[in-house]
Amino acid sequence: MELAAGRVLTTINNKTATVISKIGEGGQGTVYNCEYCGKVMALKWYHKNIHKNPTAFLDNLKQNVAAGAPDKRFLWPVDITNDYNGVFGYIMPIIPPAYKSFSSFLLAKTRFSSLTAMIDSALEIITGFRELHKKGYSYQDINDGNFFINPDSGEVLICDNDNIAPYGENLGIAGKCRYMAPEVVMGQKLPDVQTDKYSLSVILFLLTYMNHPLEGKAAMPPCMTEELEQKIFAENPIFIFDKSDDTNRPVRGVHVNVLQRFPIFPETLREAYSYAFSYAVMKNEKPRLLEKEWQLIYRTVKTMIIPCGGCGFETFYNPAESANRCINCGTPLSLPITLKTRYANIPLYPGKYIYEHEISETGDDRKRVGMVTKGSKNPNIWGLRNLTDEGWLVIDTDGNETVRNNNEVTRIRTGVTITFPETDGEFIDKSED
Amino acid sequence: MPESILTSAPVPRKTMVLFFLIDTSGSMFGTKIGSVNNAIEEIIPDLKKMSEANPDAEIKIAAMEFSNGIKWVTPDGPVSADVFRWEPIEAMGVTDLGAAFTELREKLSKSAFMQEAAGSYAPVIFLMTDGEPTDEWQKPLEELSENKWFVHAIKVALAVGDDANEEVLKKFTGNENSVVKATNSELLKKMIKFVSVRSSQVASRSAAAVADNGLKPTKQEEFLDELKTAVEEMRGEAVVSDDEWD
Repeated sequence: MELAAGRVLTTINNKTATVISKIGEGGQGTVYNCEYCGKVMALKWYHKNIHKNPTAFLDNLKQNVAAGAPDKRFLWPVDITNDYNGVFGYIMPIIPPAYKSFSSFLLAKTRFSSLTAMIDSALEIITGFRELHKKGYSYQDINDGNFFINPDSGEVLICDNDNIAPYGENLGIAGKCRYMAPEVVMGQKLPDVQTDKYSLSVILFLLTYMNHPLEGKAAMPPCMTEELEQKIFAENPIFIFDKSDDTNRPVRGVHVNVLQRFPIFPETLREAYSYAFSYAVMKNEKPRLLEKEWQLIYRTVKTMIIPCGGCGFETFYNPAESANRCINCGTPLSLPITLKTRYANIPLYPGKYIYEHEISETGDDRKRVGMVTKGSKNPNIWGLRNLTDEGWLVIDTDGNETVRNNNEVTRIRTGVTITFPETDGEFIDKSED
Repeated sequence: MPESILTSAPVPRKTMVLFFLIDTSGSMFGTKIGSVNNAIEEIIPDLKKMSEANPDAEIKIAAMEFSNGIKWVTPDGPVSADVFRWEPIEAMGVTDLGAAFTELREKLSKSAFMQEAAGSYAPVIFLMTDGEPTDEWQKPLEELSENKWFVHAIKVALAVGDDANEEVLKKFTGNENSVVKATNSELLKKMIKFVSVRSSQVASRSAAAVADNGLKPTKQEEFLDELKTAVEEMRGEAVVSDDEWD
C-alpha cells in the first residue's frame, strides 16, 4: 500500500506523522519523508506480511523506541505508527544531505576528501558498534546499506536499526553472505554480538581497501551461484592475502584498489587483517578482534597521518620503519622528530594535528589538542600550538620551565618535554633512536 | 601532478543479467505488444537506479524477440542498465519458441553473453508469450535445461491472455508458481514491472545467509514467495475488465 502525500498516520505515542513524499524503496518497505512533531523525519513503511513473526518484531521495536539510541551515530526509531490493515512503519531522523551512502563510496561515486576523513570514518563505525554492544544489543545484519558517511568529516550515521535486538535474541534476519560470519552462512548459528564483530571487520576492510577481503581469483567463477557463495564466504573462506594460502590472491586489472593499497598502507593494518581473516579466526576457532582492539589499531594508524611535503596529500608515516614513502606520490619521507607520549609516537610535520587520545587514555580521537606550525619568518623552525584550554608545562633541555596556554606555540626541539594533564611528552629525534 | 590514493576505482562487482524473451508473433499485435513496450521502457529507470546503488552487482539487460525465428534486441550482448534504451518492437509472424530456447542456450555461455571478468550472479530469465509454440520446442528446452546458467537462473513466465500454453511455460520455469497470467494491459504492465524489478533486486545481491527456521530460501524461492503475494494484490487492484483480449 503506497502512502499518498498529506496522509496522516497516528502513532503508538499518540502523535501524528503527515506523509510528505516518497524517498526510497527497498525489499522490506518504502521510506517517506514525513512531518512529525514539527520536524521533517523519515518514515519506514513496511510491506505487508514482511515479518515472519510480527508480534515479536513489533515488541522489540517498541522496546528499542522506549530505550532510546545507544549512541548518537544511530538513526534510531523514535516512534511507531499504529497498525493500518496489517501495515505499519516507524519514524526516525532523516539523513542530512552531507552524508552519502557507503555504497556510493564503494562505487567510487563519492570520495573521502582526506585520508584523515577515511580513517575517522572507520573509527566512527568502530565506536558506534562498541557503544551498541556495550549497551547489550547486537546489530545482526551489518552490510553496506547501513552506513552513511560525511566524506569531508568522516562522521558516520548508522541506519536500519529496526532489527537490532538485545543480546541473546534474534529476529530471524537473513543478512547477505558477503557480510555475514561463516557460521551464520552455514546455518550453524544465528547472528549475535560475535558474528557482528566478523561483519564489522569486513566493512572496515572494504572501507579501507575498496575490495572485499575474500574476493580474489577464487571468487571469480563465471557463474556465482548461491552454493558457490556459501563455499567462498563460509565453508572454505580464504583471505585474499592469506599468509599460507595463495589460492585467492587479488587479480591484476580487477582488484586494482586493494593491490595498490594493501602493500603501502601501514603494517599495523596488514597484521590486523591478516589475523582477522586468518582461517581459524574466520571459522571462529580463535577469537575475533574486539571493537576495542580495532579502535586501538585505527587510532595508531590515524597518528601516522601527515601531509606529504612533496604532493601535499595526506600520507602515512610510521616512525618505527626506516624507509617511509608517500603513498600518493612515492616521495621518500624524512621526518627527524616525533612527539612521544605514553599513548603514541607522533610524527611531526607542519599541518599535522595532535588528538586527545594521543595524550590521554580516555581521550577522544577526533578532538584536536595541538597543531604543528612552521615559523612565518623561518619555515625551518617548527612549533606545536596548544589548542586546549589548559596550560602545558614546557621544560627545555636546560631545565627552564614555561607554561604554554591556549593558542601559544612551543618550539619543537629534541629533548624538550611537555607536561600534558595526563602524561608527559618528549620531542625525540628519530635519527638518534 | 600525482593523484591522491583516494582517487580509486569502484569495488569490483558481479554482473546480473536480466533476460527478456518476448513473443512478437502476430497475435501480440496491438495493445499487447504496446503494453510490453511501454512497461519495459518505464522500468529501465528503476533498474538503472538499482544498479547504480548496488555494490554487489551491476544490472545488465539482454532482450530477444521471437516470431519467425529470433532476433536479439541487444545483439552485442547484455547492455548496462545505465545506458540501456528501449526501442519499441513490432509484432508479426509465428511463435518460434523452440528457436528462442536454442538461441538462449547458445548465449548462456562464458564465451558468449556471460563473459564478465569479475563473474556474474545467475541471471533472471523472463519469458512473455501469448500463444502456442509453432515450432519444435521440446528438444530445445531439454537441452536448455542442461545449461548451468539456466539451471541457477530465476525463471519467470508471463502468459499474455488466455491463449498461452501454460503447460509449456511450467516446463520452461520448472515451477508452476513462476508462471503468471495477465488478462488485460493494466495487469500486464504491473506484472512486467514487478517481475523485472523485484527479481533483479533479489538476483543481483549476495545470497541470503540464513532464515529464522535455519533453512535458507533460495533466490528463486524468495522471489516466488513475493510474487505470489504481489499477484494476489494486483488482481485485487485491477479495475479494467478482466477479459480485454478475449
